[in-house]
Amino acid sequence: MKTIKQLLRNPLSLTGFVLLLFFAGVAIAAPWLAPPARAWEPYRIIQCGFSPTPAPPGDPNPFRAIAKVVTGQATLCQVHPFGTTGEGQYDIYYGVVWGTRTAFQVGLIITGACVLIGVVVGSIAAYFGRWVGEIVMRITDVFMAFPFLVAAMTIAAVLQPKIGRGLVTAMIALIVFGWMTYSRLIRGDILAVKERDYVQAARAAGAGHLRIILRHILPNAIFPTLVLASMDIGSYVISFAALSFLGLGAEIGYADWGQMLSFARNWIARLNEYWWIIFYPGMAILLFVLAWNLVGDALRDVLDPRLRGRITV
Amino acid sequence: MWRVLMAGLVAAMVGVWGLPQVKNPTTLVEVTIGDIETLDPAWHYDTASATAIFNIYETLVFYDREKIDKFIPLLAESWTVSPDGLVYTFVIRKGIKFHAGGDLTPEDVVYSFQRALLQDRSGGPIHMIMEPIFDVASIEDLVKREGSDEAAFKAVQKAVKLVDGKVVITLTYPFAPFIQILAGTWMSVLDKEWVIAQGGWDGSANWRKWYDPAAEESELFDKANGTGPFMLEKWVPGEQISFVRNPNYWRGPAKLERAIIKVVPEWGTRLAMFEAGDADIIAVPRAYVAAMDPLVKAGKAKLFGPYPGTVSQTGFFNFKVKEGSPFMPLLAGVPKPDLLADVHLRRAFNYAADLDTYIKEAWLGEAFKLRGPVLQGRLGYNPNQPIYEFDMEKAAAELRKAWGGEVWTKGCRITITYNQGNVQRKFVAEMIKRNIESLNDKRRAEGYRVPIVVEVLEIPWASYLKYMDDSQLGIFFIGWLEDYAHPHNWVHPFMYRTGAFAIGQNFATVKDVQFAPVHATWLPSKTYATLQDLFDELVDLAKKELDLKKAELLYFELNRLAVEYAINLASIMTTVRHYEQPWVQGWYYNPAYPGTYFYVLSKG
Amino acid sequence: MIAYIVRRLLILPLVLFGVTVFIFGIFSLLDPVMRASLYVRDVPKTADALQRIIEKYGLDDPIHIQYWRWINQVVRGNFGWSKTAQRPVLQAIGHYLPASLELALWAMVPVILGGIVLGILSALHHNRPLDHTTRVFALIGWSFPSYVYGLLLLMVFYATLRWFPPGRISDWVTREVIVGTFRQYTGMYTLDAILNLRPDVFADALRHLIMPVLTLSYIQWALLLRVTRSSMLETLRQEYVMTARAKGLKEWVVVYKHATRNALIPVVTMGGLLLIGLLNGVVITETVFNYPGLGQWAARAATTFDMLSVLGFSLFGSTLLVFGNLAVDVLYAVIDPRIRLE
Repeated sequence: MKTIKQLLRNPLSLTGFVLLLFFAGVAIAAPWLAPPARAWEPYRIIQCGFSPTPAPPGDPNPFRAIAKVVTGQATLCQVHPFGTTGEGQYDIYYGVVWGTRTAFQVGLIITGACVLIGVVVGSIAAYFGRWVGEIVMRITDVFMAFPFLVAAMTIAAVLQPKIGRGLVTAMIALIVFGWMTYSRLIRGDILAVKERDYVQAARAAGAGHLRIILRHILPNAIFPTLVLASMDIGSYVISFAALSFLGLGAEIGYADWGQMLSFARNWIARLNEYWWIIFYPGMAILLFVLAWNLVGDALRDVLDPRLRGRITV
Repeated sequence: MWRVLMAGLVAAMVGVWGLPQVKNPTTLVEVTIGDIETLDPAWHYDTASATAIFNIYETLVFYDREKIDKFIPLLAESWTVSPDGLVYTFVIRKGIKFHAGGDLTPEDVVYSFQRALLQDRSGGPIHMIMEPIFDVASIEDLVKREGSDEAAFKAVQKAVKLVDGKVVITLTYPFAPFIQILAGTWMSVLDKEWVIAQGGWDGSANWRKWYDPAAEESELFDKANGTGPFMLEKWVPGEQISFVRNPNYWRGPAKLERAIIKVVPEWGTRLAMFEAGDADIIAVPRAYVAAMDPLVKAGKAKLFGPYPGTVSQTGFFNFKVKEGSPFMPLLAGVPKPDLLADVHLRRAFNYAADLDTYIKEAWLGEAFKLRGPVLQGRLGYNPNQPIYEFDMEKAAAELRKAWGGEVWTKGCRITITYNQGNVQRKFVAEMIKRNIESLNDKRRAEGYRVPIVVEVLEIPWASYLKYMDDSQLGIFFIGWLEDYAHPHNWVHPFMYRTGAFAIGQNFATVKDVQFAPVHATWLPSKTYATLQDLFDELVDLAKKELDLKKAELLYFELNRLAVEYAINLASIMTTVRHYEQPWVQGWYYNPAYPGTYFYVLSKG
Repeated sequence: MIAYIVRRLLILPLVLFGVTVFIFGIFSLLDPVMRASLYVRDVPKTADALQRIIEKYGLDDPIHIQYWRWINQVVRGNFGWSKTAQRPVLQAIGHYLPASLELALWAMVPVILGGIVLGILSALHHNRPLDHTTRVFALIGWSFPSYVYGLLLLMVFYATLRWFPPGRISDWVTREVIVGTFRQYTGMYTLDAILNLRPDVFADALRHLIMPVLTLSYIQWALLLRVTRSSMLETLRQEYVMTARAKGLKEWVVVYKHATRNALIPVVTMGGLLLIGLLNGVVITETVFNYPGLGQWAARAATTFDMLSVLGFSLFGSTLLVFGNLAVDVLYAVIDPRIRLE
């Protein structure tokens, strides 16, 4: 309780919370804010034609345009509150709104999977003696020594023809290279906890390995890892969008901010004219990541000062 | 030192940021998309490499400006063809020098052609001349037929040889498009001594040592020494290639001193370079023509075209999908590999394709409907050949007939595939899906509840090739870029047993085919064992027919059969536009040119 | 310490082995036909084209045989042919490295100046306007995806103002290099321009560098600033600083002689992270700005299944990371006598 009060008193973390709530609201209200044209595939951005040139926002006041859409006075293709991308006239407003859901999914799933793998690997390394630990940590070293982004791109590129282009491919690629920091952190924390009296007592009482790890060690060691994870959600969203931007993440036309930004690559000489193709999706990513970082940052300051200054990628 | 640097810095920034003007009146810069793969004429098979080779090397015969069926002698002074169409004899021009100084001799020509045949790299262009000369697809097949490397080499020596100082090429059967193939860049003439000095094939029977090299293993990968109007200056892979004028060119030196082809994949950057005057010619993908129109109107760019191009975009039906394919068609919920072997089903799809909308929306009006495999403007294109016009009533009628009515009553599932990222193919696939599935309402009203499902899937390019190669696709959309301007290069891939697309379509699934000629009336009516046999026979007859009138009727016949049997879907050809700066002079369009021919251009 | 260095270096072959086996493993997931697609640009025009390519490159051999074949060549110094760069892999690295190095070195200027100097100032002005401003900028920087930032820069400085173009050099410099008198000593144009006494080339190269450098450095800058600031804050609270103050030493002596030196020790450990950030950063930055360097090459190779290029880049990157981290450790031990490497 005290922590929460502390968090809300800090203007930065308060901003973060407000932003996060806003995004969560948008994600939940997506079907009302941007009614899908085809209910069974809401993540396919509404397409308003084939012209290659981006169409400008239909109304200088985007709020008025959005209001028209929400109240059903106009369709998205009529007003384009945020304009359209080139090459296929994907409605940017629709993509930004539904992209919020994608961003939450991507951030939470990747972080969750990384933490899970990291915790399992880290616990094994820490709990089962010297040799196992040594081997596991050397494997971790190998993964740490990869030029991460290119390796992730390779995995995504190779998986694409296997399982099709989409969120899963890029998420797998990021998870494969995302778990190592957690495994290292948890290993250190477990090593510190391992020799404590209550663990020794449990062992003496004949508890199994799994039980000791799950009941006695992890609850006392996992906390810093979770704090770190909360700080990393934003950077995973950035990395995922980067893969999409490079053409390896979400498929073309999928409601994903990075994918929408990749349309801008053909128009860099005309960005002054077609500013909306980078402004809206770009701001969405920036604010979303900022929100997580503000919250994560504040959480860390309050809960675990030891992690200060730790950042991945 | 520092002061000099700062002064220069300021001066340079002011200078460079000045307004655009006609830059370098003797250097032409073309900015394009694709990178060169190699400079070895016998190896290359892509337009980017061909464009470079086209400006450096020369062939025996050449196109007469815009015409694709009139040929002028180039390195050959003259040539004759024997009455049976089998023996080509070339008199080689004298007094021509290669860039490095060597003299052009008839031996060079013989060596160049023999080297190409013996090198025969996998996936390369040489199969085109293998076919008429030896009636095989590759040198490996020739070795198999002749029995040994040695014997194959003898056969090559016999086919391309020197007789009384003339170059004589002997074919196995008369082959109408042979002269077109000779004008292609893969038949460029090299300097024998020079190539050997670079470590190339030494002219001996030990050709295996140089057989099928990887691009970089060829001694001519990044070197070039031709007789053409431009000499290679420097090729920086992935960035640019530059040429300098050949001052001793035998037809007189080019007007341009230098020419540069730069690779810039992003459209926006190319446009910016054009606007700044840094690019004289840029590649404009069809999707972006709208960005160029204002420039043309303002007199800041010149537009040529749209001309009929050299590419078709077509859907292909696979008559028998391979077992275990992820795209297996279903009839009444049960796998049915040969579902698309029913002509009524294929016709229904053709009627459901609204080509006018497709061309207007997806191609911005810049495409023509095709009337069979043969491209518009080529021999054998029949403007009066009727095709399937969009008509959902007829589509429904055909669908009712498919598989004796089973499709209509029991429903089916068919997958249309296209390669990832191709928006036009996606458009046409989804349009056909929508139209065919719209018939389900009618069916439901009649009490047939199991729907007809058309699934549209996009597949990454790499896997697309695999599935196509493996005959696993149901209906697939893809394009074909012609190798040479002759209908044989269209009916072969679309209809012949070993053709690039036909091989994955299994026409032989259709048995006992009745044939009665409509155009080539001198042919007997008869029954063929399979549809493939019929196609093969007609394709073979047409390619050997030296009488242009008869050849045309044979191609008419092939087009008619392709349409009647509905082997393709929504076939269109795209147009070509050429944009250049107002100060560029001399450009003209010949669809058979691989790219810009700098010799005819000038600036100012 | 020597023992530590030797032991860490012994890990290098293990790491490189792991990295290459992993990449081979990934590629073995691909059907041989798909890998053959790297060698065909268009629809294969003959029926057996793909099969011939597969046989030629041995793409359907068991993966361990392919690995063995590759290792055998690598031992002889042949890392294979980079289809993406149209050069041997080693030459490709040699060709692209100067461009990326130039970018990274220039990026270090704002990173170190902005990060360390501002970090210290921010700590000294703790909770005053300067501190708040820099912290907000750092937070935004840390949350800014580099491609968004890069596109915004392009929007302002290229599309609108036409000040800084994308790419690496202008056409006329390319011409100078290919046919002119400009000699390439290092491959880094800014340095070569000075060596050639060509201020115009220097200016041109710099114009092209400004936006990528800003993009590449912003995030790193934010990172370093945060670490420096908190480390400095902690040091200022230490007893010896208090003591120095109590002794009546002048403020700047306290700050620069006592606090700064000690505060920068943890900053050194950021070197490893900085290196990782740069390696990833160049991939995106070079792609956004169409800057022909290692990152753009690797990105193109990864998307076209060009395994040999990916292997080459990964070996290079991994070696760099191992050595970089080792250097950081050693440096750390040297400047901070309390640390002992074991």
